[in-house]
Amino acid sequence: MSSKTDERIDEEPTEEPTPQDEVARPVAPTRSSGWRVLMMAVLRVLGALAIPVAAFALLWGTFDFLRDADANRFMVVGVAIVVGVGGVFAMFWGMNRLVDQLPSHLREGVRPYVFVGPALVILSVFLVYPVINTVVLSFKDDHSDKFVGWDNYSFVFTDESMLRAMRNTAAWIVLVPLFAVTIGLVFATLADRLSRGEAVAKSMIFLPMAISFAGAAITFRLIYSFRPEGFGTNIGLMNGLKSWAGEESWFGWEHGTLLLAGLSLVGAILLLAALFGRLVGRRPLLSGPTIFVWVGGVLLGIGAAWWLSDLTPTPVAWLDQKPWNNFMLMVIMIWMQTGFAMVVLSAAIKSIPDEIIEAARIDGASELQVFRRIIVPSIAPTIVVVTTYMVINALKVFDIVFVMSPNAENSQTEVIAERMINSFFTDSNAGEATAIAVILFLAVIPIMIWNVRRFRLEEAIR
Amino acid sequence: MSLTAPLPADVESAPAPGGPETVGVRRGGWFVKITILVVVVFWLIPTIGVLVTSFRPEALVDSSGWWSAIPHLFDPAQWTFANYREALDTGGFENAFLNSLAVALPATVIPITIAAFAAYAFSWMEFRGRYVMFVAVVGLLVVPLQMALIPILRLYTSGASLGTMQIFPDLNLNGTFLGVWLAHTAFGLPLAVYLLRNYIGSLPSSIIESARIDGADHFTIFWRLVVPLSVPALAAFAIFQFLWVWNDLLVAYVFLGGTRETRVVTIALQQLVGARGENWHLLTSAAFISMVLPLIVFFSLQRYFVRGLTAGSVKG
Repeated sequence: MSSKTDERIDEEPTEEPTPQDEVARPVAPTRSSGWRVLMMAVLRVLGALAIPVAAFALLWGTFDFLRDADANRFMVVGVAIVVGVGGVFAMFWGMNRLVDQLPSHLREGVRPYVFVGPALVILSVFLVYPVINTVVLSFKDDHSDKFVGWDNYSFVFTDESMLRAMRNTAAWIVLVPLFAVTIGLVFATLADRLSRGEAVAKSMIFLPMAISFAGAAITFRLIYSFRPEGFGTNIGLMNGLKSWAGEESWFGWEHGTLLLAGLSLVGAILLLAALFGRLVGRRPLLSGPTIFVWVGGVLLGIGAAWWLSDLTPTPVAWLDQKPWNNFMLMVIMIWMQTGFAMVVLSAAIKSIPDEIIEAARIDGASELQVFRRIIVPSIAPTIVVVTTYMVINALKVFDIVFVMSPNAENSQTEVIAERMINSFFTDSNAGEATAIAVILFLAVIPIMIWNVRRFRLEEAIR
Repeated sequence: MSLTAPLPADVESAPAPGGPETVGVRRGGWFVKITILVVVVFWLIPTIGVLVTSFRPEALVDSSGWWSAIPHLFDPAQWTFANYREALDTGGFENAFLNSLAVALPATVIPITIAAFAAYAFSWMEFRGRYVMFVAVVGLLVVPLQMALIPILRLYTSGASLGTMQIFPDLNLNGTFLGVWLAHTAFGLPLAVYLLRNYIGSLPSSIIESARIDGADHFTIFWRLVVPLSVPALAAFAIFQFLWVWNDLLVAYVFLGGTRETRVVTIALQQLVGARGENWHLLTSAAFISMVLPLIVFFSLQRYFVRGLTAGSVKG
């Protein structure tokens, strides 16, 4: 991409007249006609000014209307959408008309700034200025009245709750990418080998990516839902499973025990199949990454069943189990982001030339070896990019904790971004809140710079 | 041995037979299928739980888990729309849904329009400092929006002053749609400019130059030529930005607040959890109301959707 555009930048001046050219050949007007031209120009500029001014007045009038809470809600929303959508185009159109009224030698020099101007103005007012202001505010007291030096930062690094938030965030940025990328990678590899239904399977995993963190949080609150004994039936899936596991079933055994036995049996068979399948010299029953999935899944199942059957069937308040409740929240993000990892990695896997994989198979490589020695190294750059994306997202996680633990300090599930909003709105301490934001910024910068550079590098190679 | 082994001519098309000596195991067997199925079911259970619960009568929701409704799939007494009526009406979710629309549509169109004009200028217009400006805009990708929240809020509530001089007027934008639009526009612009400049800059220069020769001015070229040609990139970013804004909680919480008049669906959900955290018939129907538009977008525009989200992975 970059080499192409660079070329064009060099070419362009030769192909269209620059403003200087037009200035260089002025028409020498007589005095009287010069006055008339000038007057006409002034009138035209005034006339053109009237368009944006009128547009602005109209916009302002509608905003007053929008503030009027008594107006019909459908009306308000409809007007808001029309004004918001139409207003921005009207602004560009009006400004462009204004430029058309300028003397011809200025026109093409000014027009580019009309095109980029709004973007630059908005970015300066709403991004550049705030960043500087945030840094300044982080050295001031809670009401931003006087400077307090490094006090806010020493608070950030000594406060018990903040330290816990940093530890929790550290766990988030390690565990969420680890699980999401691993599951996404294995699923992408397996889905690649489906003869049909691959697209459907992938879109089902990708689906949670479409919904909000708030919606996902409610979804999982339902799963973790807890009522103490004597306060009604537990309608959450986890506690439902737990009480089901404690129920007595065949042969006077509990469901949990039966499940444990069954899973152990399946696990043993799978293990034998994996081991002896190759010894006998036939194609192993299990091949490639499937082994990981099944052995891992069975082990997890055994663990869960053992745990469920071991404990009494009393319901558990899952979101109060410190520190495990942090993991309960991470599961939500893993659930939502695995689809992203899967889709991106799947595209990368499909771009590996078939010949390489076929050649390895002909050379006698097992599916596991193909996965480990060819697929993973080939898509390593993509894995890195996806992981950094997940790390940044996990670093800035806010909504999940905010919705799931209304009182994060009690449940000890604080994270950095959530602490920032908490100290600004609950503690009304702008100094500490901005100091936390700066810490977050400093943590993101190295990852982002590296990510963007890597992105550009890949584009250049492509 | 392997080097000299002849390559089967139709490795690609040959269906992999189950024989022991087969090379090139392209297609997975039953284990792959079962694994995929298990993972997919596992991934769908949370959503299905919400969907099923939201259609069950309040009394049943309260007394039994949602899975116990599955055997009664065709029993009309087990299902109801009352939860949705309650959530939309007394729960205030009709209002919240409208507010979300009023926030999300302009907050998608405004940054795209501004970014498209800027991207056109960065690609096809000659002016001083264009490379520096472009790099500066892209550099802003690294800024997490948390860095901007508090100063913007102060701009909205009291303007900005340098010493005693007011340099930014107090527009009293807090709690207005315009305030949220502008904030979302600023947070979305760096990515939009970056993506659109990449796309618009790679359009063939011959098209634009021949339009110039035919006497079209920049505005006409942009509107009549570049915008129609850039629909894929515009659509991908539009979907990304729309879902981002629709699903956003933080920006709406800070700038729009939680009053019943102005709150958006995500805020309404969060408040419902705080106030009536055990009213599952209401919580689930409300959650589904918030999901329905993203899911429609997801299923109808899936290809653009994936492209947009993948492109958005560099957003700070």
